[in-house]
Amino acid sequence: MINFYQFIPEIFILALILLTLCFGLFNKDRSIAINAVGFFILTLILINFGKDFYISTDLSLNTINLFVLSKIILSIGSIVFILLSKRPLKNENLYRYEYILFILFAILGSFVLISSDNFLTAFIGLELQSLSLYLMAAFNTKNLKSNEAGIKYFSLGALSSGFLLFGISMIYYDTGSFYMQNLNNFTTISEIGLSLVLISLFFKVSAAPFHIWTPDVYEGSPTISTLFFASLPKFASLIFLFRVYQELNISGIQSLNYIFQIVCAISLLVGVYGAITQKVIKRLLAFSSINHIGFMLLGIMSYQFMSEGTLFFYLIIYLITTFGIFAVLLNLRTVDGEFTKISQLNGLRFTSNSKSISMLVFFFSLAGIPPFAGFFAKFFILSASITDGFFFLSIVAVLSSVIAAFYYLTIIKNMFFNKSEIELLDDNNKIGKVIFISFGLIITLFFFYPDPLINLVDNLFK
Amino acid sequence: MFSYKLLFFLPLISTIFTYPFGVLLGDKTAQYFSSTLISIAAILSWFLFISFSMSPSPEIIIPVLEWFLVSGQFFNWGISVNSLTLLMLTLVLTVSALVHIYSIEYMAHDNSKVRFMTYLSLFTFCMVALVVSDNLIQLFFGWEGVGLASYLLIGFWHHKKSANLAAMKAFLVNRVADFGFLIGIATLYIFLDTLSINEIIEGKEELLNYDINFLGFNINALVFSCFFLFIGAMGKSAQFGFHTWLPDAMEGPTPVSALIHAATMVTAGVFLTVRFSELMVMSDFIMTFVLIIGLLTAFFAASVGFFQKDIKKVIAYSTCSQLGFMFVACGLGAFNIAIFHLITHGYFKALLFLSSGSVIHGVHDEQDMDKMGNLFPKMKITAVMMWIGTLAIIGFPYSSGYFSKDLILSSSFNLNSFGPLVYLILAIVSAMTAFYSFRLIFKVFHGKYNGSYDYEKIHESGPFMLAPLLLLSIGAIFAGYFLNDLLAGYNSKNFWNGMIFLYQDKNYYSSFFPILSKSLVATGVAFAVYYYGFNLNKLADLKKRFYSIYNFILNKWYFDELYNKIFVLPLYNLGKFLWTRIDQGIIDKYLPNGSASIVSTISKAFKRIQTGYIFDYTFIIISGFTLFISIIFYISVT
Repeated sequence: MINFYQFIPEIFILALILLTLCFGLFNKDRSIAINAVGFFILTLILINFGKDFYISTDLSLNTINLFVLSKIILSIGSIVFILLSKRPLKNENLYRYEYILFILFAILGSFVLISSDNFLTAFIGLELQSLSLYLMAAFNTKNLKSNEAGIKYFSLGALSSGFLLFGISMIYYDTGSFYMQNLNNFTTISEIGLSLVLISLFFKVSAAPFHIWTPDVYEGSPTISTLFFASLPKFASLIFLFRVYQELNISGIQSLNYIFQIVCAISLLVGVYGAITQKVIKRLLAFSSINHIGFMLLGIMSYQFMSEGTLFFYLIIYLITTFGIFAVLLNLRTVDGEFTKISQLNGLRFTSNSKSISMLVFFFSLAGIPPFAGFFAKFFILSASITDGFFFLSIVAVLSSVIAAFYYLTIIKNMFFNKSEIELLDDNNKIGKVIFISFGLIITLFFFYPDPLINLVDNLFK
Repeated sequence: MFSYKLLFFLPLISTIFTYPFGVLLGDKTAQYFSSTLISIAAILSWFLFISFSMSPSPEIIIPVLEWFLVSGQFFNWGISVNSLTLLMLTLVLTVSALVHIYSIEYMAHDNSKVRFMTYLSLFTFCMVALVVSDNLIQLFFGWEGVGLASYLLIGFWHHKKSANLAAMKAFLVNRVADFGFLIGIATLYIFLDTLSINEIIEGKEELLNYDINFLGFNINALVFSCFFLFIGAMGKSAQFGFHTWLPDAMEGPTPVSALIHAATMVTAGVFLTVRFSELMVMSDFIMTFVLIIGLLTAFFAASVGFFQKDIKKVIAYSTCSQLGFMFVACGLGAFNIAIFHLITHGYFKALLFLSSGSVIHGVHDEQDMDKMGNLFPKMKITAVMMWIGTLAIIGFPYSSGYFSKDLILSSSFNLNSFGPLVYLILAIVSAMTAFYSFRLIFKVFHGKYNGSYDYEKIHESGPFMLAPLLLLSIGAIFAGYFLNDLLAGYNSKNFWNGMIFLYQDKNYYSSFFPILSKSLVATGVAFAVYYYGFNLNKLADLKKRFYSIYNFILNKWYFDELYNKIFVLPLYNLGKFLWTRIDQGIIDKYLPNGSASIVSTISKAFKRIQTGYIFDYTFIIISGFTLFISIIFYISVT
């Protein structure tokens, strides 16, 4: 007998999808409002009853907490994203209700992925998520680059799905089961199978050397889609990666452990070295996200001896910062259309104080400069990894953030001290403005009032 | 209690709010605001002082604020109310208030007068914090704070290169001395485990039990700490060896020179020595050292003052010399007389400086005395004020200098064997002082005008500048008369109330000695009148005959050159070597530039990987896969 009780969040999203399908035809604006309200209700439900959904299952309390917290974060992120997406879509003449549907499908896929306990469900969740993402990348059908990005993302994504399926079948061949908890004794075959699964997950979170699609797709897609790729689905995949690492006890398997460490180190380095020469802001953010994925992998690896939820903390701060940066970018437009080049940020201070100062806060936070929250995120990860004995990786991480500070600070310097070369149009998007200012405040005020966030992360892991 | 706290906080309020007021309400408002606050504090300080001196009470310590806690010890802001601090407060706040008022007019043409007022108030706050401190940490805060304010004010006209250099010099020289001061504080803390001044003085006997091994010598802890405290005092009070910054500090605006470099900050060293008098007197070595340094400074500065051309530098050297007098008094054990001279000197030296500021203002920022002369008809009030100040400094009977200086001279008989020698040197220095002081008067106010500025345009200063002069002249004339009995008379013991060390017995004193010193002073005056008043041509003749001595004195005994040779040049060369050879040649070339070039090379390589073709991307993913498989096989095989 299947217990449907635990699928309530997913069923809720499915209901939203159906509702949007019905309403979207008649009224696009309303579908945005409906979804925002819907996710708000979902958030409330998850906060209040989230743990009850899983109580009848035999999951450990820790896992339940993980599910609930990540689903809460996903649905809050969805509210912010849906509210933010309206104006940029209208600007690009892309304002169609299908886009909202893709978001919903991707979120549904993410929900399924997060709480799946066998590889087949995970595959379905991942594919549901990815297919929506391919479409979102190619959503601007009149733009050649957007089409190219969609095609690239799709074909490379297909490759990675192939790896995933092949990996799953190898594991099935070896153990006769799709369930993660049945995977106890690793033979070489199942190690290979698991490594193939990992490759696919690394691909999704764009960890090097499987990051290769990221810059092109980020650059080509409409900026609003880029924000989506960089934030919520990546978050979900990372949570699943975290679960795989935890539940299959990968730290106990020497070879996979090496693989994790190598991927972490390469991600850290590729992220910074790739970013330095970039001229396009979205490519730079793509590489910067690769560097941050390196940090998160370090957090995943060093998690098991620390119970403070350093990884979650890092993820939340990273999400807030990413949303903030993209909210600023989406609020800026050039005469020719979307804002692309870094040099177009020059002299932003003279046009808009709130944007330049928010950007300053976000980039300082990404660079890990105190007193912004990003500093603490990095600090917690590093101290956890040093406690766990990952000295080499910690050194690499610190060095990489030294190099990373260079390009973050260059952008800030250009914003504050260079003359502007091009006239920027202010999109005057009220919602965007509220988002980046409030997120900037969160990042700043964390230093003075860290308790809420730390308590949130702490309590959910006790 | 509240009124004492008010004394502490009024200057602070002025420091904090003057600048915002200046920005919001205009320069004038800010100037009046800060002057008013400081004046209120000054008047209040007089009330408190008078009521205290009527009925002296033992020391009271008023806690103000908790500051910090280190290893179980609290360090607090506190106000110590006693005779010494109240006396100092009246001087500091009075002169500061008058200088604030004076600056309203003096700085009228300056663009950043609000900044100037802010610095003045900052200085006043730090000085008050220094004076009222009951522990060495707060004292050190004030000590450094006045140093900072002095630095900021010397370099106030930062567009002038010489001003910047002078500010830097003052700061650096003081840094050396302050390091000594810190060593002294640290020594006291190590051995007594406290920084409260009272507890240190109580624990003085305990200090005698410890020895410190310093460079192979065993030195008593008391001597060691006193020595280094005195080094700090020497730096702040520009004593022999550390004096080089004071004349250069005259680059600052003249009100600053009057307040900081004459009346108050430079006397902080004397204050410190007197505050620790109970400790100092326990070691004969320290007392002798203080005495010798004082004598050297007094003589040296007076000699250099002979031929200076800059009107402010003459007064600066005379300040230096008078500080020497105060230290001589300390070295002789007459601490109350040192403080007495400190107070009277504060008034008449501030008067001299502010008068010279009035002169400089009148002749349009000319400081060279050779380009002045016969200014008396043009600025009568200023000239009279300058005369009063000069008479006070040479110790004209019943002026304030007469009382305090004569007492220093007479207390030289506290020493039994070398007393007469000390007396003789002091008398000669007094004569020298008289000589150069009158030289200044004659060169500036009498004789014939030699300047390039239009004589007709020279004008007397306005009321804001003259009023402080008049008030200060009251101090310069009467301060000695009124304070004599209180500070140095038979009843002074009641007033001091054990705050400072006092000799039990009065010294013997015959009538021959005042006559000797006064006649020497009169001779000095006569020489000045003779050479600078009437026979200017004979002067050149004299200069030619004693050319080498003249040159030696004119070049300030070649101190700056000596310091350049010994300290500055070797350090400069070492720094240059480290900079060009080690830093630029090796470290910069290989480490930062080298790593930066590595970074850019690697990032170019990464850029090349990002071709944009799907087959290349696939290849990279497949090679990643290959790498993983190889690792798994490698590990399963081994």
